[in-house]
Amino acid sequence: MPAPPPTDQAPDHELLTQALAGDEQAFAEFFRRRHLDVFRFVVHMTGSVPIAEDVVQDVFMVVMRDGARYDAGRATVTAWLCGIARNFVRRRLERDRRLTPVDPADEGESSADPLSIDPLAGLLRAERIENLRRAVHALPVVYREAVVLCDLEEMSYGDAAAALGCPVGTVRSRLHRARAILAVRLAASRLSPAASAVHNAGRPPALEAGWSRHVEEPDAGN
Amino acid sequence: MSCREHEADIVELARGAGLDAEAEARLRGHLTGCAGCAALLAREQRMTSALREVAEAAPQPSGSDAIEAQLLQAFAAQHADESRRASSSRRPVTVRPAWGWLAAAAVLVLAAVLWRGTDRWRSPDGAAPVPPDLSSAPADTLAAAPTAAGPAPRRDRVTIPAPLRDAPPQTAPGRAPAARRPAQAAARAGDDEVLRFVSLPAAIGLPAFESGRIVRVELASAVLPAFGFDVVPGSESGVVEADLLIGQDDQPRAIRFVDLKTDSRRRQ
Repeated sequence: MPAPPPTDQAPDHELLTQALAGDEQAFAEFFRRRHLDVFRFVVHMTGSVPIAEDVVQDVFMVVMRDGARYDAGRATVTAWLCGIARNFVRRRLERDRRLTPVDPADEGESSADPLSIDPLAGLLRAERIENLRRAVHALPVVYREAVVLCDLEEMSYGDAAAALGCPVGTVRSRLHRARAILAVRLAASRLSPAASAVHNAGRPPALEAGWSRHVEEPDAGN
Repeated sequence: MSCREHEADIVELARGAGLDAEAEARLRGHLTGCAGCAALLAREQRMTSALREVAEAAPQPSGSDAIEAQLLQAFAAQHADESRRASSSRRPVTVRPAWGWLAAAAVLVLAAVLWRGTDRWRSPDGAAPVPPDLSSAPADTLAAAPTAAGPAPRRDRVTIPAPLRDAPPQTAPGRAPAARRPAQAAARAGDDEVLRFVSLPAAIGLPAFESGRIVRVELASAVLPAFGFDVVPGSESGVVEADLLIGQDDQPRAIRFVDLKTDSRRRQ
């Protein structure tokens, strides 16, 4: 019987199997290999580094406990991990309304014609990134998930569908819709600087200024 | 085909997703004669580039090493617990009913001490100090549990030998199967079991461990019997540094002894 490959060369699912059998080195390697996927997904969804780090820990605790549920025939390990992370993110967003974008505008409703004005032209790179990051973060969750997984994480539609628990066609249509909303909102913000301020109303200052590295304050109400 | 019918393919083309040859040829034919769709393609291509810039600008985690360390501790605790359960399932359990009282007592001790902060405990009549000083633990790490009174329970006992005071960090008593032998032997260098978490009696009957955190605390040796450990005569006044594994419900599940301090090292 051939010896198992070294942990740094083993495929993800084999590493997971070894970890679940009690191999601490395999678990450590699995974490090192995949935790950034989870982190990036969460940080793009929430805009918060501390929350992303918390969720990374939560996700790998679930892996430790329920890793046997992973089905390699249904999704890649990354998609599965992002699916778990998504549940934690949704719980966090539900629990902490401060992180839920309060957007008074109906999705995509704007007088701005996204084709008559290029929403990203003429901006410095940093401005372009910041404007778009804010716009992504202000998307409704279902659209944000599609953009984050498919465009930011460059996940296939199949994997994104597995992570989100919906059909591939739904992922594709959400992504297209999300991109259309982004274009409209960015165009609106170019036409009216005040528009972006309206879009960002109700969100914590840390999120306005960029990625939040602030530790959340205890919620006195809960 | 109308412009609207081409929109989905335009987005996919701009994203760099593969269109089949026929669809792409049809779309490119349309684009040559439709300024609106050509503008849409250009916008979507810029959107794709900008989204990639956002992805590249994502921050990096600052605490990966700490997260990994905590996860590995939890991993060790979980597998130690599974081993313990596997071994205990092979022999009759005769002391289980008594653990209920002990569980409540142990949690009460921990919770009360944590809430008291740095104050040293005293017995109800104010006579002799009842030691534990858990001032190093954050006050919100444990929740108080209901108390229950009852006779002293029978316990599995692990003896903490006096020489452990002078042992280097990471030497502490192991538990099953090490619980059946002197902890002195378990504390020998190179014995992996001494590094592992030991399930607390208080954890019996609690919901399965799902997630949690590890909290470093100091425990007076005098309270160790409440956790099912014996203390060698003469070392009762010492302080044991330990890691508590706190579950998702803020209840402690396991303990790992880190170091045993003497009175002279104790913080005032």
